Amino acid sequence: MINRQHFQSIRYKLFASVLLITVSALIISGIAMIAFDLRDYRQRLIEDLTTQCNLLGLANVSALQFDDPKSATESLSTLAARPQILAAAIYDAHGALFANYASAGGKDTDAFPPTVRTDEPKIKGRSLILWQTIIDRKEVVGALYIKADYPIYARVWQYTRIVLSAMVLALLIAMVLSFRIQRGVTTPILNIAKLAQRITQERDYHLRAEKTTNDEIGHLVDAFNNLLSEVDARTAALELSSQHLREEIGERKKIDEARLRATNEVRRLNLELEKRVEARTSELERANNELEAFSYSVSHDLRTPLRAIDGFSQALLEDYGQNLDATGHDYLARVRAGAQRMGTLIDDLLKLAHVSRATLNRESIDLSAIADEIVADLRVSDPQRKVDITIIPELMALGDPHLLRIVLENLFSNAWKYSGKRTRANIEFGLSQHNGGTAYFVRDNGAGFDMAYANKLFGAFQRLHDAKEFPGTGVGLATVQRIIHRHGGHIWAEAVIDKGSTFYFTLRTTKELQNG
Amino acid sequence: MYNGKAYLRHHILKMLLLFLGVVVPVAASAIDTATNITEYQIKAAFIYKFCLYIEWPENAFPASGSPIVIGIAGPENFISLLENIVKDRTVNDRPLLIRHIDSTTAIEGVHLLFVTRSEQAYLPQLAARTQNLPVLLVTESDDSLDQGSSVNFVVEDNRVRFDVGLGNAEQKGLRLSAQLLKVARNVRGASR
Repeated sequence: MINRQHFQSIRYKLFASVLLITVSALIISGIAMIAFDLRDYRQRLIEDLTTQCNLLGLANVSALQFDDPKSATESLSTLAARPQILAAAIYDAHGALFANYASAGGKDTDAFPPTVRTDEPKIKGRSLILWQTIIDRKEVVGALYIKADYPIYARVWQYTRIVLSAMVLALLIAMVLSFRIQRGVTTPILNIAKLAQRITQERDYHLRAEKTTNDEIGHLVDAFNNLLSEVDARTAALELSSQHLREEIGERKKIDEARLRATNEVRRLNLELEKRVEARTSELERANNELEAFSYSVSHDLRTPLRAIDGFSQALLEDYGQNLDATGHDYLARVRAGAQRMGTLIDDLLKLAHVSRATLNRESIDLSAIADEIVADLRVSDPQRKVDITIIPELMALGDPHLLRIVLENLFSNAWKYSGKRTRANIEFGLSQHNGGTAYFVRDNGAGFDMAYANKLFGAFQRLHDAKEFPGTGVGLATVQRIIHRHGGHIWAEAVIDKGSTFYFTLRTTKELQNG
Repeated sequence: MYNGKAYLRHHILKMLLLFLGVVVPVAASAIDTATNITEYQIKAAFIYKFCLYIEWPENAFPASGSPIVIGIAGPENFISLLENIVKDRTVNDRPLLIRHIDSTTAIEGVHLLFVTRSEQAYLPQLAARTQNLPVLLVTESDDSLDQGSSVNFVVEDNRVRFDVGLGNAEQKGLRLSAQLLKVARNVRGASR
């Protein structure tokens, strides 16, 4: 009927459903009609034949009573007018065959039952058999047998043909009517479908469906139009918002470009600055190197005349000592002391320069062990002193072993020196907590100093004590500070006059070095 | 329209009752005589059955339940034969009465008069006496119809038949049923 593989329009679906309903209704009613008719037909046939029998019986009462089979046969032969009756027979009161009849087309002429039966009407194959007792004035005078054609199949076929032709006619009418009616229903729907397709293709949301009916389809049209209005409004709003967005994006882009330009400028300036710093640094380094080289060579060159001064002063004392009086001796001794003192100064200066120039080789070192060695040297060089020294063992640090030894030598020798006037001198080397970090310290109970001058403590050639009281060049702490600074650490001191002083210093730990 | 099924059922019931009550004894007697059935036995039965097909005028009976009187001008044994048949039987609620008739007996009140062959000689006289009475005259001799008889028995092919003189019967105000005429061998003198 309709190709199911392809798109099926609602029109065909409606059409098919109407036809299907019509056909099934017709089939059911047809079957019901046929069934009813067959039942009715049988009933009517039986009634008809019963009436016929009664009439025949009545007509033949006298023939039976007056024993006149001829008359009965004649009476039966009138059945020829009814070809439906195939055979008939009359039996007398004794049950013997009295008269019989067989229709012209009848095949079973001699098939009359030999005896009377009193069955109810019976259908046997395609024939109906009927028995009727003939009674007159309450007396049985005989019996009647009738065999009629019961054309059930012909009847069914005839009726089926009627039903079929009615079905065809009804189908045609249903087709025409349903086509008319469904056009009223489907046309608006198809219009909407077409419009929807057009909108999908053209994206024109201004289109509207035409409302033709005031039913569910009309509501559908309204809803569809509302939807379209909504979509239209939304599209417009979306368009507006997207325009805003575009503008915003444009502005942003401008800002970003400006920012990028600024960043580039900053970067360029930074680069320039770095270059300048680098240039300055290298300039400074060169200047510094030149200065150090200069001071080194000066110091070195100064030693030669100094050695000459000392050497010849000694020679003068040894060779011409007897010619000089005590004053001369004293002067020469002073010359020599001055020369030696200057030599020490120059050595210290060279050391300081060396410390500044030397390369830094960091490694893990045991400061406590170094301190032990230094203390042992001090005790050997000054065996008269009685000093209590406490060293916390295994204080580890990361740094240049040579330079850190210089630091500890200076700090210990200072402590040793400034506690020299104490009968019970104490020197302590340990670790203390300071501002969330740890600091090494070297503490003594010596002369101490005035904290007002603490800022001058680490300057070169700066001395807080009289050289006569505590001899020194004033370069040691400057060297220490330089070394600590080169290690990235800090150094500071706390003191109370005549109570002692404590020198703290920090070094970068492994973690700090890794972090930069 | 009547209900066919109910009608049928009614009939079957009726038939059953009849078979048990009436038919069986009648059939039994019929079978007994079937072996040596005599001409007069048949004629006696026919005479009874004629009553079923004849309509007498109203004034033939004094009352509604009055008996039908059958006159026999014949031998005594035929009368007893007929009496056996009509015993306990009625026709239209009328009992049947048998009366012997001879040349001297009054003929008034008789409805059917059978003149046997043995009484053939009295026929003209009896016919004359019943001339204006509603009496069905039954005979069994040739030419009887010419002498005023209404029904005349004949034996044909060893079978009892009868001719009807319809004119004679109608002249007396008797009406013979078409059923009866149908089974008659000959019907003479149809007036209408």
